[in-house]
Amino acid sequence: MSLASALNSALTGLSITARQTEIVSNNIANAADESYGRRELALSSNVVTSGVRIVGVVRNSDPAVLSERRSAEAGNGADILRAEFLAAAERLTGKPEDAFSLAGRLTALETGLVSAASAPESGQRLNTVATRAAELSTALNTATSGLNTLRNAADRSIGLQVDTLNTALSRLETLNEQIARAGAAGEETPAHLDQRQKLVDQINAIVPINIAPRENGRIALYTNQGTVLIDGPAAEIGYETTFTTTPELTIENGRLSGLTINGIALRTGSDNGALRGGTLAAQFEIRDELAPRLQADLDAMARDLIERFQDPAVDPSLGIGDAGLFTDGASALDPLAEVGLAGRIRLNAAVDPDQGGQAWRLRSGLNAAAPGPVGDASLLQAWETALTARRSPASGPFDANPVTALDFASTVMSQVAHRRLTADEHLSFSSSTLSEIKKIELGGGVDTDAEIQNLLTIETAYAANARVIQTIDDMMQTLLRLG
Amino acid sequence: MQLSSIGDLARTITTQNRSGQLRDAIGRLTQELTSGQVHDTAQHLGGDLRRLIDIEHARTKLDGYRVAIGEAGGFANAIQANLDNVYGLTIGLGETLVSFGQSTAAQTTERIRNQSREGLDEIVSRLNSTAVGRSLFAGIQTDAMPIAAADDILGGLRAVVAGETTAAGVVAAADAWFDDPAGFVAAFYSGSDTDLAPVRVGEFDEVSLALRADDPAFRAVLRDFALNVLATDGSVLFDPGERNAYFADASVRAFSNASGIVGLQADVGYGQERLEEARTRHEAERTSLNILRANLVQADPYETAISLENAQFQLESLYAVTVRTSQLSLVGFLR
Repeated sequence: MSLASALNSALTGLSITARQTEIVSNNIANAADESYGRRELALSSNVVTSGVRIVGVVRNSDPAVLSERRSAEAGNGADILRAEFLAAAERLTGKPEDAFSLAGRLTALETGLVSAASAPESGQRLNTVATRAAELSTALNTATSGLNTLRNAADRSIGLQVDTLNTALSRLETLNEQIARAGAAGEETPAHLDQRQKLVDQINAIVPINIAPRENGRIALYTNQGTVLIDGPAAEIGYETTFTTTPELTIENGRLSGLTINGIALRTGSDNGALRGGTLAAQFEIRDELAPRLQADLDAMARDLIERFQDPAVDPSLGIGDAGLFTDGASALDPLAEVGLAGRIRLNAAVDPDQGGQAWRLRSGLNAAAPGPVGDASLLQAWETALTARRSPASGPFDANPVTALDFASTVMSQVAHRRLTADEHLSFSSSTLSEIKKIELGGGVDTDAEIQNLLTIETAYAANARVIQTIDDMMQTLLRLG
Repeated sequence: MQLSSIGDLARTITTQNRSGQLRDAIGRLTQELTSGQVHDTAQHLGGDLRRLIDIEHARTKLDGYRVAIGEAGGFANAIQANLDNVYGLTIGLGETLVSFGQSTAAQTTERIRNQSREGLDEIVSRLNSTAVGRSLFAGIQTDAMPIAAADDILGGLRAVVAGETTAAGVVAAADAWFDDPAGFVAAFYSGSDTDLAPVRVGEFDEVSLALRADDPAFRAVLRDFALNVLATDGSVLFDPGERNAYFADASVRAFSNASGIVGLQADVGYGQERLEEARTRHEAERTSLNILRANLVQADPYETAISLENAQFQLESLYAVTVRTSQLSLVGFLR
């Protein structure tokens, strides 16, 4: 009898090595997959009959490290988006050494006016002034359309992310059920768990989530702010993409869509949003806060420029309310229509040769019927003074301190640069944090050297068990040969 | 976390991040070394760009002012040359007039007439002269010739003094007509009544070169040259006694007119001096702005070169270490 049980033990040993080899080969095959949880075989000795038995396949995962990595990843994703947006905004307003920057174009206009005032007869110099003024207004137009493009991209990205989120949540619902059923039937489901981890990672990048375990291996997901994304049934996030965004469309006036969850509206602000912390909230912040704030600064700058030149004290040929050197579209400034003004500011057609105007009006007055004395530099000098004079702007990032036109441009550019630098600093901090956490998380992954060592052990065990079987067989043969 | 085994991926993530950072650093340092400027000026300046923008603005505007100063200088030089000439003619005529009582009246009269006539012509053409296509003395109407032809002026004056018989009367009538805005100026001055605007040569600097052909000093010169022509060509003062009385007075007036011209020259000279001052000041300002700008954005080539070498060395070391550790695998040692 003891021989038979010895044989039995050896046989269990052999079959265990087969399972172990399977685990080792699976681990090595998946060594490059970051969300793969390293498998181990949990063994224990068989109490009833001798030998070894498999308790189960253990999937290695550290929930604490995982949750830290997830929150670092979500924050990092959001920081990347913000930093990219602000770098793009900085390219739109220009750097101090760029001639095409807002300050550069303004300086070129001032210099052109100085040269033209020195020789007011020169048609060429007057044309140069007209060109440079047009370039200044175009710089504001281009910055506005660039911001619109970025807002558009944010809007579309939100739409895509909401789709991804909904798909992932519904797949998670299915997966939860599969895992629960397998668990109830006593089966191991490490592959499903890998897949679920991937889905949760995907959801987490969009909206950082916390995991709450439920019965039978199911999980529920809820955000840091307490919004439940899936608990049993998956929630459905609603969003409508707007195909073109312009500065007049905002979430406050209802012309841009917000988020709904199962039909109920959600807040989306960066300070109180219900789904904040990840790339979804970052795109909302770009669309609803960062871009409009810069647009407002640009609009204030455009308004200041228009107002400086729309003054009959500067150009006596203007009546009150007549359009000045810079116009809103084709008309004078409407103080109530400041939103998006930077996209509509133009050079007055009366002086723009490209629009059928005459550059001599820069010298003689915008409403002048005929060219006045050709040596008259007084209006050109008045234009230049209008730019360098200090006036309190009606709007913008100042506290009603009198500023020159250059101060306006340089403050707008400085603020963008400052915000971009701050965003870069946050990004570098969150990147290095994420990198450290990931290293810790991946440290618990597959180590090929360790698996190979295991394989050597398994090989020896297999050989040993086989030898035992052979010996027992010999012993039995010896017994049977007696008599 | 198990300390006995460390996942493969953990090892690679560090080397990947580090090599990415080093390559970025090398790219940035190379650019800084070759351009001499820091790569990210905003970061270098801590996000406050206003000072740099102000410097760039001032530098660019200096170029505009340089043009204005150059052109104004040329204009002023042309004015000064013409004033020199007018002064010379006036003094010359004054000297001729002084010698009137000392030699034969007929010859001197002839000489006075010729000198006055030619002088008048030349003064008129000087007052009508231009520089770079701009009239020097026409105010803001720089495309106009401000003074009518000498013959027309003589005709107008002849009509005004026609009835006078005494030297004092003739002179008084001529004075009144030249002083009257509805007289000579209205009829024979076609420039603007507005002076040229002062030239802007700096942020707060203006130089005025305003001098019009209807300035009292010019009118006095024209008046007396014209009167001398009329007094010597038989249009007025038929009485020799009156004529002598006239010429006795004329030389004094000629010298006083000449000092009027000198006054104008002094004004223009002052303007020229201020332009030159502005030009020198701008040169100095340009230099100091360049220095300020360099201080703000320059990348020290020595430090940059050293950092670049360090980064390159670190990258090479990283590559060597990566190769070595990748060869340290148990798989390579089996059988």
